[in-house]
Parts: sequence; C-alpha cells; structure tokens
Amino acid sequence: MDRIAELLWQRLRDPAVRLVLAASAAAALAVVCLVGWSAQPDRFSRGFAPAQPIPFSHRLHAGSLAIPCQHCHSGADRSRSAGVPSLEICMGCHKVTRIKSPPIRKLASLYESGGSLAWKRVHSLPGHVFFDHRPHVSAGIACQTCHGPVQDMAVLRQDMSLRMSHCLSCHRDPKAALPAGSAIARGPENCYACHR
Amino acid sequence: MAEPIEPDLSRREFLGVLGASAALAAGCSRPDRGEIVPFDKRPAGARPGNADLYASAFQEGLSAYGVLVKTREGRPIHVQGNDKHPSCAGKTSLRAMADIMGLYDPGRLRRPLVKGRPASWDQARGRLLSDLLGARAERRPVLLMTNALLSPTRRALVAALGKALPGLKHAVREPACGGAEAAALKACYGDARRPRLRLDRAKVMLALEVELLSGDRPEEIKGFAANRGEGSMSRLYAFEAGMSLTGANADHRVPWKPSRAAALGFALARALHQSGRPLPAGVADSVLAGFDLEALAKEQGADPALLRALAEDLKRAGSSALVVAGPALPPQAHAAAFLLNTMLGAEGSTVDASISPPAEELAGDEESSRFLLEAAQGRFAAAVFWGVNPAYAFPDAALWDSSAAAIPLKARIGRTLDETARACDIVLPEHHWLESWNDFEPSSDLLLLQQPAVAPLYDTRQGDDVLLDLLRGLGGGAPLDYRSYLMERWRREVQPASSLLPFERFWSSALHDGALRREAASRPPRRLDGAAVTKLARQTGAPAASGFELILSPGANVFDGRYADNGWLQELPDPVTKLSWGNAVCVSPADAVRLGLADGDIVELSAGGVEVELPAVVQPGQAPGTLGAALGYGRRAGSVAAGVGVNLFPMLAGSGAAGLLLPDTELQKTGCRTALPFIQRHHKMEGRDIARSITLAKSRQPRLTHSKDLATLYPPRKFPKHKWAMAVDLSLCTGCQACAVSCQSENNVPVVGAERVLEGREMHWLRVDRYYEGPAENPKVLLQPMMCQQCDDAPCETVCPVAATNHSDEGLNQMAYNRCVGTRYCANNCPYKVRRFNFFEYNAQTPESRRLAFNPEVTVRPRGVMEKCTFCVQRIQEAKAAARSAGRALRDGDIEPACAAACPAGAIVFGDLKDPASRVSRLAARGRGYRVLEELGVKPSVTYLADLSNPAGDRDAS
Amino acid sequence: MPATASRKDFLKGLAGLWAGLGALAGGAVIGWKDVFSSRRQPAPRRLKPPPHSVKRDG
Repeated sequence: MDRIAELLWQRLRDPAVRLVLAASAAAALAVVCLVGWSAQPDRFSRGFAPAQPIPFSHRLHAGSLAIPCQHCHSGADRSRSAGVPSLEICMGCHKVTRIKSPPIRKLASLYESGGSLAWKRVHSLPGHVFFDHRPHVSAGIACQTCHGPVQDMAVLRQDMSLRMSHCLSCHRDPKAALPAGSAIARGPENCYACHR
Repeated sequence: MAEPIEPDLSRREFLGVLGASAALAAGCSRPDRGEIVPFDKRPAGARPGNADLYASAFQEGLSAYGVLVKTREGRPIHVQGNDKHPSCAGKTSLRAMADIMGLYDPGRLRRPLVKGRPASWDQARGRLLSDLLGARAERRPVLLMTNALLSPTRRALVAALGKALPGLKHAVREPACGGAEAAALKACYGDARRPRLRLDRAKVMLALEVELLSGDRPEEIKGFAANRGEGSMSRLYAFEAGMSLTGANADHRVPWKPSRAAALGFALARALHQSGRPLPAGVADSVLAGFDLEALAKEQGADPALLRALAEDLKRAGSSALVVAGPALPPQAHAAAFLLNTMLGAEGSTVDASISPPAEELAGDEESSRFLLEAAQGRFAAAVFWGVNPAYAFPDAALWDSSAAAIPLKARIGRTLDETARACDIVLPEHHWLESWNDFEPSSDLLLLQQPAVAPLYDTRQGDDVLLDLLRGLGGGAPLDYRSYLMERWRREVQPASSLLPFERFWSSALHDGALRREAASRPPRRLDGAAVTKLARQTGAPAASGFELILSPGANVFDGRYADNGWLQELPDPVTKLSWGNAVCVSPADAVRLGLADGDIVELSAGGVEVELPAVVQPGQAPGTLGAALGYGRRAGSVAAGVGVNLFPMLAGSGAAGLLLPDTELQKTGCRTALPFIQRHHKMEGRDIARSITLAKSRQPRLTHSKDLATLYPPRKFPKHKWAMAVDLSLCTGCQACAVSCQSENNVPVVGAERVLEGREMHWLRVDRYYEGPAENPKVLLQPMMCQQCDDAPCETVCPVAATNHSDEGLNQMAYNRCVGTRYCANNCPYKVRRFNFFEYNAQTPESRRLAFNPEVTVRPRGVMEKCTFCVQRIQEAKAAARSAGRALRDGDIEPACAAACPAGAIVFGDLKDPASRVSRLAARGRGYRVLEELGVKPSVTYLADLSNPAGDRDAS
Repeated sequence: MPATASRKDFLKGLAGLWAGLGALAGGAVIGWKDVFSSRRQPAPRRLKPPPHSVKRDG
C-alpha cells in the first residue's frame, strides 16, 4: 500500500502529470456542466422577446385600438391553445388599412400567394406540460395576469415565469388572479391536472 | 529522474481559453422556441387543439360497420363506432379501429409503378387502357378479381364496366370465407343471401363450430350481451373442436368433432320431432331415423343428459332459439341448422333473412382455379387484381405462377407492394378507406356512407376512380370522379321520392350521420326446400378418415392476411391461445400426451399431398382427434408481416379439402422446437379467485367482497369533488379485446415486436387475461380485462424513490413520466402487473408516417419511463374543461375512456363514485361486485361483476 | 519496483490517462447524441382536411 502511495506521489512531482490531471479534470467538469446546462429547461425565460417576421405591435392593436384579446386569439375559451389568428383575420382590416406600409404589403403578398407566416413562438412549455386555457379563461382570469401588460408591448415578450413553481404558487393562492366574488378557492395541485 | 516537462500553455492561459470557449458557446446559442404558423384561411370549424369527427364506414369481406373518425390538426388519430348506426350504436369492429395504421403504413405505395419503375398516372393508366382496348378489339376476355363489393354503387360501376368491356370476367374472392355455407344456402333456399343473426332475441343458442363473439362481430356481441344479466338470461351451448370465444363464453361447451356436427343437428331435429315439432314439407321421418342423440353422445364422449337438456331447451325456446353452423362445416351441417331453425320457428325471429343484402357470388377455390387454368392457357388478354392478393392467398401457388406468367398484362390496384403487386406489370396505388368515398349495404334496410376523413396523403387514387376512368376510356359515359358517380346514384335512386329536401341537404345530412335507414323492400319469407335438406341429410355419415380433422380459420386479428403488416394486430394476441406474432396448430391435451408434444414443438402437417411445418400449442378443450390453426400468416411481403408465422393457404389445395375443413390430416413431430411469443403464459388462478363466475341461481347471495374486514395502516383518503372508478361486468365481456386496441390507439402504446414479447415486455396498458379452470379436456374459461386498478392505497406509490407516482384527489394513481428514473420498483410491487416499462426507445424508433397517428393529448414516452393505464385522464380533463367552458356541471356519461367506448358488450363502465346516481356507483354496489385481490388491502377502484353462467338444470332458461 | 519512474512508465501512464479521457469524452458524445436524438421530436405535420366531407358538429 505504501509503495503505491509512494509511486503516486512520485508521479505527481512531475509538472507534466500535474498539468494533464488538472486539464482532464477541468475538461470532465466542463463536459458535465455543458451537458447538464444544455439539458436544463430554458434559462432565458422572462424577458424573451424575439424579433418577429412582421413587426406586429400589441401596443397599437390591443392598446391604442383596444381590440379585445379573444377577437384574434379566439381559441382561449374553447380549446387548450388560444391560437394565433389566421392571415384572413389580419386581412379583415388590412385589406384597407395601412396598405402602403411595407409590413402590411409583406403580409398581403403572403396572403395572396398562399405562403405561410411563421411567427416566432414566445411562450413555450415543454412537451410534458399539457396546459389548458379553458379553465383559466372560464374562471375569469384576465389574460394580463399571466401574459403581462400585453397592451403596452410593442414587441411581445414573455412577462411571467413559466416555471411550475410559479404556476403552483398561484394555484395555491389564486385570490389575486381571480375576479372579485369568485367561488374558486384553489386551483388543482395534482399532477394529472397538467401532466399526463 | 525525468526532467520536468514545461507545458506550452501556462496554466493561466489554459484556463482562460477554457473559459472563453464556454462563454462563446453560451453566447452563440440563442434559445429558439420554434414557430407558430397560423392558417392562411381557417377552414370553417377547424380549430387547432380541438378534435374533428367524421362519420364513415369500414368494409371487410361481407360485413360493413359504421365508424367515427377523430382527427386532430387534419390527422386521423382514432377510430370509434358511429353512434348513429342503428344496430351497433357507437360500437364497431376491432379491425376498423386497428386499420388506422394502414393509412400510415410506411410501406404504402406513393406513386404508380410500371414494370417496377415509378411512373406517372397518365403513363400507367394509359398502358392499362390501351391493353384493354386491344383486348376488346380482339374479343379476348379480361379478368377482374376483387374482394366482395358490398357496395351498390361499386356494383353498378363494375356492371357498367362489364357492358363497356364485354369480355370482362369478374371473380369475387374472399379467401377466408369457406364456400360451404353459400352452397348450402343456395341448395336449401335457392338464395345465397346470408341472414342476420338476432342474438338479442335468442334465449337458447346452439353454436356449431362457429365464432360469434369475436371483435369483428360487434353486432353479435351486443346482441349476446343484451341477455347476459340478472334481468334476462340466455343459455349458450357450443359444440366445437377448438376453443373459441363462443365456447369460452358458453354455459355449456362440448368438444365435438366437426365431421359429426351435421349428425348432431339431425339427431336434435329427430328429438324435436319425436317430442311433437312437425317436420317441414319435403322432409320425411325416415330421413332422420339414423341419427340418435344417445349414440352420438357416447361416440363423442359427451354426457347424454346434456344433449337431452339441449333438445329440451331448444324446444321450449321455440322462436327464441337460434342454431348457427360455422363456415368450416360442410353443407350438411348447415342444412341441419336450417332444419332446426325452421322447426323451432326461429326463421324470421332470431334468424332474419328479410333484410339480407343481395348475395355476392364468391369465387371459391374451385372456381378461381378454373379462371386461373384458363389464364394459364393464355386465354386472358389482361388481368386486374383489385384488393385481392392471390399471389399469397391462393392455395395452388404453382397454378398461380403459371397463370400469372401467361397473362400478357397484369395490373394491380392496391395499397402496398405486396406479393401480388410484385408479380404485376402495372401497379396503381390505392387510397386507404379513410381517404375514400363509397356506400355500403350491410342489410337492405341500411346504407352506410364512407367519406374521407383526410385528403389523400400520397399520389394515390381510389380504386373505384381507376375503374371509372377506364370506363370513360372504353367509351362508357361517366362523370369525372367516383364521388360524383356516387352522388348521382344517390340522387337518382337513394333519396326517397317523398323527400322534400333539396338533394344537397339530404346528401350533407346523410354524410353527417354516416348511416341512412331505408324502407327494406318487403320480400316473401324464404322457404326451406325439404328435398334439398333430405338429400344432404342422406349424405351425412360417419367419416372413414383416420387422420386428424384440421380446421383452418382466418386469423382472429390478421384475418385472411390483409392486416398482417399491422403491428397492432400482430402483437394483439389470439384471444384464446394468447399467442402473438405468428400462428400455431392447436392440439388437444390427450393427443399431446400421446404424441409427446409440448408448446413450441414444431410439427409437420400433411393433408392431400401438401405439407407444412409449424409450431404446436397444447390447447385445453380441443377435441381429441382434431386440430385448429389460423390462416393469414406467413406473408412474404411487408416490413412487419414478412416471415411472421406460416402460410397455411397451400393446405387448402390438397385434394380432399372440403373448404376450410381438412378431414384427414397427418401430424408428425420434427424434433425441432421454437420459442412462442405468448402474451400470457400462465393459465391458472392458483386458488386466488381473480376472475369469478357464479351461476344465475347463486347470484342472489350476499356480497362477494369483504373490504370491511380488512385492517389498514393508511389513513383513509379524502376525495372532495370526484372519485373516478370503473365497473367491469365479466358476464357481458366476451374477451374480444376491442378494448385493448382502442386503448393502444388512444394512448400511443407502442408495439415492441416478437423478441420483446418473448421477454414479457409487451406494452399493452389493458389486457384481457384468460384463465382455465377444471379438467384440461374441457375447462371452464374465464376472461377478464385487466388495467391499472387505480388503487386508493397503491403499493406502487409508496416505493417510488422520486415520487413519480402518487395519488390525485380524484382517485387516480398519477404517473409523472418526467420524474421517473426507471428503478421499476413500482412495477415490482404492483399485484396486478399492469405497469409497463419502456426498456427501449420504442416510440422514438417509430417511422415518421406512423407518428402521425399519435394522440397529441397523450405524452409519447421515451426510454426509461414507466407507463400504465390512466383511466384516459386526457378524456377526463377534456370533459371537465369543456363542461366548465359551457358553464355546466359534469354529467354521468360525459367521460368515456377508450376501452369503455369500444366495448361492444358495454361491459366497461366508467364514472364518479361521489355521484350516487351514476351507473358506476350502482354497479359497484351490486351483489355480484367484487374487487380483484381485495385481500391485499390496496383498495382498487375497479369493481368486477362476477360472470353469470346459466347451466341447464340450474333453472330453466328464462 | 524502482523508486523513480522511467520515461516509458510515464508515457504508458499518460497513454492510459488519455485513453480514459477519450472513453469519457466518447461516452459524453454518445450520451449527448442519445439524449438529444430522443428528445422532443418535431410535432407531427398538419394534414390537409378532406375538401368535401361533412364533419360532425360540436
């Protein structure tokens, strides 16, 4: 036993050995960190505000023009996902309004040619989360409660943390989010409510 | 001592480089959450996230069933029954549900082929049309071989084609239908129309070598289940060689050689006549003189008292009796069944021929051989094979090869490059039925409409459109597409003259419902030809053969082989043998002992000069001297099907084969063995009362459960709002396994393959267990659907080290896939063994086209994760959210798990135990109710109702 | 065994060390590929609805 310890100690005297050991330890650590980091859910949650193919402004439409949310996001009370309006909905107004501005012309040409407009997704939940808008909308929770002051956003950003702990904290004490006089005391806390 | 080596990079610099590269990596990767692409123009009613339902119809052979197709984002993901179907009301064939995988089969042909090379439709059609025109000019015949049409519009189209092409010879082939029944019908009634069986009207049934209760017969199962409760109880006698579900569910099952089935029938007729029932005109007493029940009983080793009781029961039931002979039996047995039904007054009551659709002339093996012989002599100028697969299913392979070689142009209309397609010059890829338009007439008072649930996936055409196009090319006037042709016929012939609706409204309404009831043209009741019966009776005698009597039946799941490439149907076990991924020959226990055979021994069967080798299975209840095996295996084409099982169709070519019954088969051991992928290997309950059966008389006794006696360490759970539970009535369950297919479809349950099944790693969340009790010669069979019991005190929850499984406040055992690390301790602890582990990436390896069938509401599980039945929590959550949106409370019946929705017998009921008025609450409180392994104290949420049996002598059949 | 290491021993040790690191790295690469290949697959594509069929309402 002592001989082996002696041998190892001998080896460590050599700066080359020390260098290689340190570098490999660092490399291993780096690999572990990198893999672990990549496998983590998106750390860039709040504030994520990607540039969109057409610079749609909620501040203009939902704010100044006061268009109700569900006029465009009509799925919110009848489907799991609120949905994004079809180009036809946009063209409903933009056949006549602002038709000369470049973004509208881009929109119109996409619509005419049957091309597709790919918005960059802002709010994203991982695949093991099955969120349903309906119970939240029918409970009377305002869209802004979770999506923030969308009517003030020129570029849409994720305002609220989408982490489970955040959802659970509201489920456990929803009074602030619910309208006055709501009979709901708590939201569900069991796994199956959101995970299947 | 070695010199210290100076590093090129100083420590400081090295760490700096490391840090910089990490920062660069971090900075460069921008999170991308993907894109949302909205519609350009949203189709009316389309809403991503919500399912759409289309009514349609599924045809197979001589039956058609209504379906509802659920689609999500344009993709059909689930097939269920059509609630507007008059007799099946929400139930459908097991294979209709499974065949959704046919739509997404990665082996589907995507474009036409000419001489094996991809071609355009114009090229392929052009070639075929020019050859047909040439054939017509030269007055040479053309062969058209199809499956049964069952569609009045399709029939009209083929007839029109025949007019435009006078040399057209149309042969209708259904390889799994023996010709004996049709021959007997024609001889005895002058009409090959198959009557409808009204099991719901039958109080006493005699099943002679026939399977009435399998998953492809939802109407019969539904009718049978109508009389299997305390309120109204029928009695079923089954006389058969092999064990079928009918035999398993029978109150009395008697092992009986098929060659003596006719004799039994005539002996019963004689007994009925002796006790007062008159014989129909043309049948003299003397004809039946030679048939004696007592002697027959002794000959077959059966109890004479039972046969006497059978005769008594039949006589007492009168018009509520029903006698059915199976397709493998010779015409004599069918004639005996006709005679009995007539004498009992069942004709028109339990056997209803008044609404049978027009009979299709099926070209049996003999007639097909004649066609192929002509072909071999070079008579045909061309042949079109639509749907049929004679290169696989035609018994005489040599004749097929020589015929195929002698036909100058062979065209195939089909979905995949199967055995026949490989032999053909022109291959025209066909739509799947989920992409097709048609109508079907399963009975003369009902028309089912088939409409596409999705636009065609590939560059395919509906077969009917191909024929329509040829018709146009041959000069027959025809609309541009089959849909127009169909609508025209409906406008002209189907919409009643009295209807005040404009046709478009009538048509839309019919498509919406999927089923149209009609006035059946009244027909004079059919009359039994006594002389024909007499003739057949005189031909009935004891067989001289010394060998085994082998019955070949279509595979319970793969049918005649057309579904062999469907992984779900290969992995779904035979409902009785529980063998998956292949066929085997069933041997009686007595013969097995005598020959020294065990499960897996490979034997050689020879009959009429044809020899095949396949593994043997010892089948409890199989009549000694008989064998049973399934057709539809041994395919040579198909990524899933190829090489699975043994092709037994060649055995039908052996001389002496009377349809599907081979009366003189030799069996020899080869000395080789193979491992058989059984889904269930163990048959005994080992004294643990898992599946219970009580006689009707005893069903009034006190409760079977004893939950109140059990002490427990756990505090009782509280369920504030809902307590989900299930009730499964074993008396109604026939063991058909439609529930298992529906569950697989709804919950993205993967197929694992034969190798994994051999290791016991099949993934079915819901399985039907089959137990044998009693003597192996003729055991009592108990069938029990088994799924996660959602135990209140679940032993799986307490042992998960990462709390991936726990209990919800609504009574469900929750499985969080994301937390699971795969210790599998939970599965170890489960007393019901209903937890399934993803040992490999079963789902990730699914080809892209099959992934389109996944249900987006259910996680697709990766490797390393445990899964199990969730009571279809996605359906529960959907119903709750929908009710909340609509501002109303949940009602009993709003939520139907996939298994409950699929069960043709209505044996599975789901609901809320907190609602005392719900069906499940009432069923759980029944005296017949019990829980499996209740003594363990796990408090399962599934209540089973004991099977009710109604043996003769217990009390009269009510 | 000699008290001091020879150059050959050192090189053998170094080779062994790098072999081990290589195995670790290889494992990491395979593991990475495995984790990311079996991660969330792209959602199944939307198919075209049938043009003339009539849906059930609700």
